[in-house]
Amino acid sequence: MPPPARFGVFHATIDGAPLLLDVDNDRYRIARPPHPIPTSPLPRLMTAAHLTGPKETIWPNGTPSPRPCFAALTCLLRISRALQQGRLANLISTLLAISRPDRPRSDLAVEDLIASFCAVRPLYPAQAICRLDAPALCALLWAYGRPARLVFGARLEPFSAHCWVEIGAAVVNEDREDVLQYAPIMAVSA
Amino acid sequence: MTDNETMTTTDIPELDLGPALEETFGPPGGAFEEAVEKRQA
Repeated sequence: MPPPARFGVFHATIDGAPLLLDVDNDRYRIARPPHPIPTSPLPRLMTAAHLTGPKETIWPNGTPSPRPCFAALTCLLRISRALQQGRLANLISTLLAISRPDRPRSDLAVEDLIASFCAVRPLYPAQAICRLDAPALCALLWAYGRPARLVFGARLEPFSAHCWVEIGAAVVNEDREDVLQYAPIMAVSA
Repeated sequence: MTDNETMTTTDIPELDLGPALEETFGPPGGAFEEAVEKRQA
């Protein structure tokens, strides 16, 4: 059996406080410097230095179609299984296994893919929550050759963590103002 | 503690904020939640 993947420690400065996301130990924490250098051996994991706030939102203003609807349900199921293992590292491992960066770009518009996801999402028997929906939507976009990334962010006072999907300078299916409340700390790219 | 650590330590208290995956739940009333509620209404 191969050793478990190591993803590293990521950090962001929020209101002057150094916030660390220790993926391998599944912890968020405030820690005094000096910090580990926030680099990852995996090039598909992006640090806060490479992440900026989104400038617009892509909403599901498209037409659902059967094939991506079915794919969306499959993505939801796979992410749900990963979440049952209860650790962020398992979720990231699953995402990296799902992703195929060489996947050809589909003719379907991003809006159509998001609309397909939103059309079937109520049929999936799980509470809507970002740690399920954002990775599943990201996986769907990857499956259709779209260069989406799953971004993890946090805010302090009170502490809260969030994840969302971005393509280019846009956040997907989420109010930009909501996302800007969180400082990006790490992202998984296609 | 090394000399280097002494020099860079600040007054910021160390704090464990909890499990990363479990704490990732985002704001209530997001777009996905609204989509689910509309369909169920």
